[in-house]
Amino acid sequence: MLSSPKGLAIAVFLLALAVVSVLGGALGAAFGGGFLGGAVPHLQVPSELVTYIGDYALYNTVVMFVAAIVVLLLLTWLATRKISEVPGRWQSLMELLYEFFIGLAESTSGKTGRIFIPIATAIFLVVLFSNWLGVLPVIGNIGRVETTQEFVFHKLEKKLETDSKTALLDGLHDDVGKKGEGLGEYLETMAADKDLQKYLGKTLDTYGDQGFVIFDGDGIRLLPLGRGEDYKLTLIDVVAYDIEDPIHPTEDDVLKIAHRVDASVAPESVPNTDFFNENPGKYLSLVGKRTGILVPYLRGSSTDLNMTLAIAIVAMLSVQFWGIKTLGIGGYWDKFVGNPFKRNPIDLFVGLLELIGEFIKVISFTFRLFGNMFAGEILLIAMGFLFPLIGMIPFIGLELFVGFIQAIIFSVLTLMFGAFAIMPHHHPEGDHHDAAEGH
Amino acid sequence: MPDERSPKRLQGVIPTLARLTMIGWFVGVSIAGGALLGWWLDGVIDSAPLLLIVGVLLGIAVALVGMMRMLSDLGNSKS
Repeated sequence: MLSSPKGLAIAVFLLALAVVSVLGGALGAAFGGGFLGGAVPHLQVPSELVTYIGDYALYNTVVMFVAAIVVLLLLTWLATRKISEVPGRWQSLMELLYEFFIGLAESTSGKTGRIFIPIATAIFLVVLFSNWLGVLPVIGNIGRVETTQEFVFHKLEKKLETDSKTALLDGLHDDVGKKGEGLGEYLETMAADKDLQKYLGKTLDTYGDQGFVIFDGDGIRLLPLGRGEDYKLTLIDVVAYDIEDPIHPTEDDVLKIAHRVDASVAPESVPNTDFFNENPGKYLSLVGKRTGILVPYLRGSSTDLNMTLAIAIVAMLSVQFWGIKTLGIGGYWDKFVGNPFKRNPIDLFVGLLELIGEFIKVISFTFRLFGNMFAGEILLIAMGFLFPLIGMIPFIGLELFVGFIQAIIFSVLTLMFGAFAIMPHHHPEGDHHDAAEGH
Repeated sequence: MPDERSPKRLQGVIPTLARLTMIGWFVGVSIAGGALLGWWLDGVIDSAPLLLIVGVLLGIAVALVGMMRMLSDLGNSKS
C-alpha cells in the first residue's frame, strides 16, 4: 500500500492526524499542547432536565427514548409495508431476527415457548435502538447552559428536601422560578435566617468544588476550545471567593452570595488557578462571562436507571405472568414456597430465598444494562478528551458492539427465565421432552 | 457440526453465555443488595451493625441458592 503515492499520502495523513490528536488532547496538554481540549463535561448519574412542558419535567433520556421508539416504528413499518415471498433487505433482516428468537424459544420450551417471542423480540429491539442512538457522535454535545444560579437552586432544594425543612422549601418554591430565577433575591430577603445560612453552607460544603465552565460567545454559547479544562471555576470561585468560611456563612456572607448567584458570571477577582495566574490577561477577558454547566439535550436512554429498571420490571413481570398462565397460581407458587406447613423447613427456606432471587433478578437486569451503557458513555468522553478528532472512533465501534450484546443478553435472558418459569416444580424431566423435541 | 448454520450455533452459544454472565451479576447484586438493605435498616432502627451482618448473610444465601439453581437449569437444558 505504501508503494503507491495515494496509499502513502493516506498513511501520512492518518499519521499526522494521530499526532495532532495526541498533542491536542489532554496528554499533549502536559507538554504545552492541548489546543483541541474542551472542558470535561459535567457527569451525573441522574438524567438532566431539558425543559418544562407545563408542569411536566422533560429529561434528556426521555427525549432519546421517544426518538428510539420513533426510529424503531419507522424501520419496522419500512420492513413490513410490502411483505413479499422474496423478501427485500429490511424484511429479511426482520425475518432473521424473528427466526432467531423463534428457534431459541422452541429449543428451550417447545411450541409453548412461542408465547415469549413478542416480549423478548420487543425488548431486544427497544434496548438495541436505545443503546445505539445513544452512541451517535452529536448526542451529548449540544445542550443548554445550566447557570450557577440554577445549579445552586436545585442543590439547595435537595438539601432542604432531605431534611424535610418544609417552611424554607415552601418559601423557596413560592419565590423562585423552576430554573432558579430570582434565587438571589430570595436569599437576600432570608439572609438573617439561621436555618437558611446553615443549608446554604451545607450546599457550598458539598458542591463547592463543582467546576463551572466560563462560556464564550453570546446567543449560542460555545464551550471554549483549547485548554478547555482551564476555563473552569469552582462554585466557591464564582459565589464565595472572598468569604472566609463559606461553610458557615454569616448574614453578610449570604448577602454577598445572593448577588453573585443571580449574576452567575465569572467574578472580577482573579481565581486561584495556575492557568489564570500565569495568564492574567486571559482571565480578565473572561470576567463577566456566564458560568455554568452544559446540560445536553440528548443522552442515551439506557444510561438512565429509570429506563433500565422499567424494562427489567416489564421483563420479570412477563416471566411471572407466563409462569402463572402455564402452571396456574398454585402450581407456580409451588415452585417457591407452596404450602408452608407441608414442606420440610430446608425446602421452605430455599424456596423463600428463590422468591427473593426473583426480585434480585430485576435489580441485576437493571444495573447490568445501566452499568454497561453508562460506563461506555464515560469511556467515549474520556477518549474524546484524551485524543480529540480520532480517539473516539474505535470506541464508537466497541460501544455499538456492546450495545448489541447487551440488547441480545437482556432479551435472551428474559426468554430463558420465562422457559424456567413454566417448568413445573420438581419435575424438570417433563420439560426435557419438549427441549429435546426442539433440538 | 461443520454443516450447522451460524444462527443455529449462536442459538446455542448466546443463551449459555448470557446466563453465565447473569450468574455473576446475580451474585454481586444479591450480596451488595443485602448489605445495603441491612445498612439502611440499621440507620432506621439504630441497630448497627446487626442488620448489616444479617443482610450480608442473607445476600450470600440468596446468591448461593440462585447460583445453584441457575447452574442446574443450565446443566438441565444442556443435557
